[in-house]
Order: sequence, then C-alpha cells, then structure tokens
Amino acid sequence: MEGYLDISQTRVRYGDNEILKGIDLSVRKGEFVALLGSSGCGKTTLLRTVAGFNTPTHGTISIGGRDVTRQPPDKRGMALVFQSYALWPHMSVDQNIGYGLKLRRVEAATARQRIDEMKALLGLQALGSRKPAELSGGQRQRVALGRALAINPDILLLDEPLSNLDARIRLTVRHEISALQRRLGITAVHVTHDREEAMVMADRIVIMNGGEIAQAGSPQEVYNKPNSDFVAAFMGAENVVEININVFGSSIGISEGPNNRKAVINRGDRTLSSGKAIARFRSEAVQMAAAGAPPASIQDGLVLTGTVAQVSYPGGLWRHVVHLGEVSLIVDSATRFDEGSAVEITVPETALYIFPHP
Amino acid sequence: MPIPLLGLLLVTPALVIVLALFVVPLVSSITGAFAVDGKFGFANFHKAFELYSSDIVFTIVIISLSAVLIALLSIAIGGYLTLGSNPRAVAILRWLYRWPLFVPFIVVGQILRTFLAKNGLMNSMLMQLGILTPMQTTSFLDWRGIVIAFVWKQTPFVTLLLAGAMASLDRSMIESARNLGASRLRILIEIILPQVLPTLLVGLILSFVTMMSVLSVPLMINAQSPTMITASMAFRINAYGDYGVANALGVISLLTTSLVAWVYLRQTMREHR
Repeated sequence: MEGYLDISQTRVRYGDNEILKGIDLSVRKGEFVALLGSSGCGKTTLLRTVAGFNTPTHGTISIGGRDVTRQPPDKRGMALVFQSYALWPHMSVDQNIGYGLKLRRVEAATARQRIDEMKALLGLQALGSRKPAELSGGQRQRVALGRALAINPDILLLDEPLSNLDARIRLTVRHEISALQRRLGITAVHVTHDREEAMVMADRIVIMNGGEIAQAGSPQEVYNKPNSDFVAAFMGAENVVEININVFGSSIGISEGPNNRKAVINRGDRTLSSGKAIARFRSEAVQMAAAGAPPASIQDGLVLTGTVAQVSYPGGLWRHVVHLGEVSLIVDSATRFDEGSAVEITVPETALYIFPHP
Repeated sequence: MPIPLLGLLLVTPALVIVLALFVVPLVSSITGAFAVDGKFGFANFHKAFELYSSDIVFTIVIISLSAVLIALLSIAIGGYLTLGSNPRAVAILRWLYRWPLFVPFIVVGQILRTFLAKNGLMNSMLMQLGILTPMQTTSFLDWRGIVIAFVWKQTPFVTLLLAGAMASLDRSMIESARNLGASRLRILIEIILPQVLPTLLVGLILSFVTMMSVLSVPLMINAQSPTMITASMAFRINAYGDYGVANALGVISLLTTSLVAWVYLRQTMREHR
C-alpha cells in the first residue's frame, strides 16, 4: 500500500539498546493513526523518529515520496505536540502560537490574522495576552495544538497530549481533537497508552510491543480480531484459561478439563494446531448462571465452572471474581451472585480468543 | 526558662560573632571615613575625589566592561553546552571551562603577567608564527590585561550557574522550537536566554562584587595610573598610613556594590514572591 507517510524497515538504537526493531508503517493522507502500547514499547521513539529528533540506524522515512530520513525536524512539514506541551513561559498565548509564523517571516498582518484564526478554532479568543502559567491544563493543551497547527503542517504528531489532563476534561478533549483533525483533513499520528483513547480517536490503531508492531488495523479489527495473545490481553481480554484443543476441519474441539466442559466451536479463520492452548476473553462478553442449570449445548461455546470469591458493583454490571481452582477470573454480570456460590460461565465462540500455548 | 528567652540565648553566640567581627569593623571603617582630626567632616572624600576620581571611573568602567564580556562568553559557552550537537566537543568543553575557578586571582595575575608582557609568551608566539614583527609588539599589561584577567577568572563562575539553569529547562521547550524551524542561535536568544536571565543577572552581580574587591590583579598587571581603587586604597595605607582617605575610598566602593546588591535583592524578592 502506497501511503503518504511511509516508514519502512526503520530501526533505532540508543547505545546498546535497539528500541525499534524494524518498523513498517504506511499512513494515508488525512488518516488518524494511533500508536498504542505500554511504556517502553517504542511508540514515542517512533514518533520522535518520524519528527526527526532520532535518526534511524536503518530504514527510511518518506513523506509523499520524498525521503526525509536525514532531514532536520523543521524541513519535514510536521508539527509535534509534546506531552508536557512545552509552551514557552516567557511568551504570551499569541506569541506562542505565532512563533512558527515569525520564524517563517510571515508578514505581521497575515500572522495576526492566522493567530486569531487559531484562537477562534480552539476557543482561546479571550486569552491572547495571558502567559502559560495563567492557563488551565486544558487551555495549555489547546495553545500547544494551536502553535502546532498555525504553521499549516502536512502532518500533526501528538505525543500523549492528553495524559496531563484531568480524567473528565480528557474525555471531551479527545473528541475535540479528532473533530478538529477531520475538519482540517490533516494527517495525524497520535501516541498513547490509553486503549480507549486510541479506539475513540483513531481511524487505525497500531499496537506496539518491544519495538515491533504487534498488530495494525481499524479499532474494530484490533478489538475483535486480535492476532496474538499480547494484543488480546492489551485490548482488554484479560481473563486467561488453559485448554486442550483438537483441530479437525472447520471445527475446534475443546476437551473436558478440570474447570471446563467439552465444547465444539467453529474454527473460523483461526490458524491453530491441536494440543495445549490458551483461551482469553473479556469480563463483559460472557454469560453467567448458577451451577446446576440445564446443561447448555456443547456448541454454545466454552463453559467454565467455578466459585464466586468476591462481588463488587463498579456501576452498570456486577463484577465477580470467580475462582477456577488456581485460576481467578473477573466476570461481569447483570445479576448478582453471592460469594461462595457455584457458577457456570459461558464464553460464546465470537468472544473467545484462542492462541497456541507459549 | 521561658521558650523565647531560651531561643535568644541560643542565637547569642552567633549574634555576638556577627556583631564583633562584621558589624563593628564595618561601622568603624565607615565612621573613620568621616573623621577628620577627631571631628566629623567630608575632607577625606574631598581628597579622595581630588586624587582618585579617575581611578574610580577607571574601576567602574573596567569592571562593567568585564561583566559585559563575561556575560557574552558565559552565554556562548552555556549555550553550546546545552545545544551543541557534537557530544565529544560538549564533553571536552564541559571538562575544560571550569579550570580557572580553581586558580587564585594572584596566580591569574602572575600567569597573565608573563603571558601578556611586551616580551611575553603571547607576543613571542605571534612572532614565531610570523604574524608580528618585534617592532610591532606591544604590552597588554594595562587596562586590557585587567579585563582579560577578570574575564578569564570569572567567566567559569557565571557559566557554572548559567549552564546549570539552562540544563534544568524542559528539553521539549527546545525541541518544540526546533520542530517549528528555529535555528540554534534563535533558540538560545529567544527561548533559552529569557528563561535564565535572572540567573545570569545574579551571577554577574556576584562577579561584580568579587571584581570590586580584587587587589592582586591590578597590582600585578597594571603598575601605572589610573588604576583600580583597591590598589589606591592599599597605597594610601601602606605608603602614607592615611586611613581616612582609604576609608573614604572604601565607602565609595561599598556604595557601588550596594547599588548592584540592591538590584540582586530586588531580583530575588521578585523570584520568591
């Protein structure tokens, strides 16, 4: 696929540590891509490499077919919004937003107009003469965005821009940023460790792990069809049980175990071989019933039997900690099951992610 | 014993030492400046201005010029330490620039005396290189020598403070300016310098006061008139036993440093507000 921003075979090292181990990624014009991963996975390094603050030891980065691998940061037509906002404390909001224009020797009247445009776009009209220290977190974040957008960049790079905001403001700013990105039609690469943030904002999510891309795809794809145990866990399928499987034709048989009944499910597009495997599922994707209810058909999915150890109410659904021998699972249910009661948990095959045992 | 009284008792030794060793000599020196034959008068100041007004102007001009040069050099060195792209050059500079801090003023005077003289090392090197002929050589042992000595000795001190302040700035402030296309020089002048200006000012003021009190450098390097008032004071006492005029010069020196100290205090007050 020929994209607008092309990252190919990119490797970056800091001293003896190879941080990026060969990244291939292509971003279309106008696309909003989120780089998602836990700390240390290389997502920020990748963004900084794209921005020109790190030089890859191997590979190329090109924009619209132009190789920019060795170009300095300001020759790449990109604007970076920093996690700490990095506003200059001695300059007013207007001066911060207008600095890039000043560097480009934009005529004063034109610059004035552009600064006003940015302030109007971001709702900062009344704050032009304030210094960053006199602004709230959300306002600073918007000034940082305005400063980046004022120079009309081809690509907007966002390095965890929401992580310093209060939880409540963060929810609204997410939508503001993605609405703005769509309105301006700008290509954006956003780094975050927040799964929900990536899901809500991005057209495409790139999940990174240990300096490599673990999976890239639309939010629905990476959520519903994780291609590895890591991605499944990262996307919230945190419950794990070990199972034995038998692959035959288009079906997968799950043998009866100490805590699960025998089951047969469709293979779908899973590529698996018979033997030990691990099954993952999300807390809310299952059915829970009291043990001893009429046995479900073996085609309904994986049925697990266990005992409720703890119940809590986080809101909406009841959250149960269920013990299956050594294993403990977290299961949400609309009805409450008392502590100590024996339960059956049915995981439908669409919610069941099976991977080979490592 | 009531607590306030106990507290007072505890600070008494410190207070006595400050009074006996600092306040009393200072006050007696100041009053000495106004004592003429046991009576109050301004005769010492008249004489001081009559004989040494050119020295007073010389001192203030030399030290102000040195301060300006120190400021420029420390900004340049600090800027390179913060923004330099060649890690080896930065490391070498970081290692080198502090050395003069550990050299006493008298040794600086001694080093530069042999280096800057008409037949000194600097001129003989320039002659060896064929840049100067023996006829063209001049001695730098005048006001220029003093300025060189002060700048050589005090730049590391101001740089130490300034580079520390620069290093503690958020790196992403520099990167965001780079990202928008600012050159290193612009980043230094427009982004870094405004944020470390208070530190620079403090370093320069402390240097100013230090330079006001140096006797060895003018004695070693500038054995002519006009010279710095520290040398004039020493001369007044050693040659004439004239404490009155020496005290008057001391008060003038004190008033000059008080003026910059007032700037310093105002600055620190503003920082802590």
